[in-house]
Amino acid sequence: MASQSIARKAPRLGKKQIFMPNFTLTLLRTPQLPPTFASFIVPLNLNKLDLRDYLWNAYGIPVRGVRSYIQMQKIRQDKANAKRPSPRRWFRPRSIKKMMVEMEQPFVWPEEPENFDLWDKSTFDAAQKDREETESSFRPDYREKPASDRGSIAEQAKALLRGEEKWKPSLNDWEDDGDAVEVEQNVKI
Amino acid sequence: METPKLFWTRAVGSTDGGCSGVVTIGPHAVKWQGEAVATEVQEASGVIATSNKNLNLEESCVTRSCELWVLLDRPEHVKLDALPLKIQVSMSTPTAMRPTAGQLFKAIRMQHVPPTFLLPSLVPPAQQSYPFSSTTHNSYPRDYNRQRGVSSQRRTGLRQPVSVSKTPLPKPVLDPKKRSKVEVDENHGLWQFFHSKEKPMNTPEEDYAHGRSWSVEELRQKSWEDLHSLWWVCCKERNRIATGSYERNRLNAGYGDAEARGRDAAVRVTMRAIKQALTERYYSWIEAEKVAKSDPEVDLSGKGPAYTPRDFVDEDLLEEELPSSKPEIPLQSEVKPDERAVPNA
Repeated sequence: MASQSIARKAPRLGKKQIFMPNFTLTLLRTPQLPPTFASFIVPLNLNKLDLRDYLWNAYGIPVRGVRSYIQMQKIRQDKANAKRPSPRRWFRPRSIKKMMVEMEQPFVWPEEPENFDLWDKSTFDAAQKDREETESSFRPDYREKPASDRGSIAEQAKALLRGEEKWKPSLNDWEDDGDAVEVEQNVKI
Repeated sequence: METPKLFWTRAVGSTDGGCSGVVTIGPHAVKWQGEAVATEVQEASGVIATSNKNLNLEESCVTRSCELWVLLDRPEHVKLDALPLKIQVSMSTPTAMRPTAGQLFKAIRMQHVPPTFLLPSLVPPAQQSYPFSSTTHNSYPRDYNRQRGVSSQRRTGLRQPVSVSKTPLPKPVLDPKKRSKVEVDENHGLWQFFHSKEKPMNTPEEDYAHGRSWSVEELRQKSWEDLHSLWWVCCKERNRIATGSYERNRLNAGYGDAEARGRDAAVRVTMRAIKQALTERYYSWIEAEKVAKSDPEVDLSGKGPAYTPRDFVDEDLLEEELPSSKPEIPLQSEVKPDERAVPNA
């Protein structure tokens, strides 16, 4: 059996000629699989035989077997690209089809980079955090929650009682500017 | 009647190359039970008991370890260095006997609490003994099933050691850093899913460093082979971009999404231009076929030459006769009236 499978150079291919396929394959990092296995995200209309022929003709990879499954996505409110998602309009994103391929030669992905400075990760994370804070301020329950930059009232009171902090009036407090002065006095009505 | 205090202890010994032998249990043993030798519990009368049991050891076995659970009546006997338990191997020819055949059992430790699997042997069974009992004799086993008591669910293991018993089981390496590295072929086809072999995805600078896409004007000059191979180059580039973008999002690496989308858009514009050029080529072919049907110089039947020029004029002659020449090629003027006559032409 083993000698036969080694002697077999190419898989039996389909005969229908497709000249200009217009789809993308996404190779996935699968460290949980053996190195002879590769996993792809494929379009929903692709079948196992198509993937086997595509990999052989375009990439020269002999494939021993293909396994496929379709992952249904969770429902969510309104479409993903909606600018202002309206609630209670339920929408299920399109399913994702994945195919696992068994190859004859092992393949291991390049290692993950340890330093993400080239991608400017620190700025990216800071911007994301800031964006999330801004988004949370538009939520309906934003007023009910305590502000993030303020400790709880009980902790402030305790610190005040312990004498660690001094009481000072808040910014909204009335400021005494003296008597009111008429600004425009020479106006003839 | 005062029952004597009994203590269980474990004795372990081994014989080398023995086929059958005799176990001699010393005077202090009251009961004994073991994995290798004991198939039934030997009752001892009184304090001092001596019993001889026949050993049934496997012939193929080179080293045979025996484990006995011995019930002793006095704890001080356990503290003896060597229990008076002896295993003697007797074979048909005494010359074949190994020197290490008869090893003394040694008491390993004393246990005041017997192990749980010995509980049934501690409780004396309420046996019914009638002279007319129809049950078989106790010395016979329940049946002659050799696999009796071997259960995979209870993980009892086999009754006899097998050839792989001496080989330790391989243990999985849970730490992925300690695993041996897989050697990947340089020309593996999956490398074409990456822009480089060092990183799984491009940096934003690398993704941004791309030229413009092909325009339709340039692609009109190209042959079908060129356009077809360019299409496949574009397909593979889109696969690379999709793989890198997915990995970047998975790692939460940072910026680079906009650059990858710009690169992908440039590739897609090229693919659109290829389709545009091919569509134009197709329509011009259709038009040319229509014209050729009414052209007397073109033969579409497939028999003979496809193109036969009728009014062939040499260039030198043409230059000389230019002032007084009629239109040499009346093709268009001939064709056009016919086309006008046909509706929707």
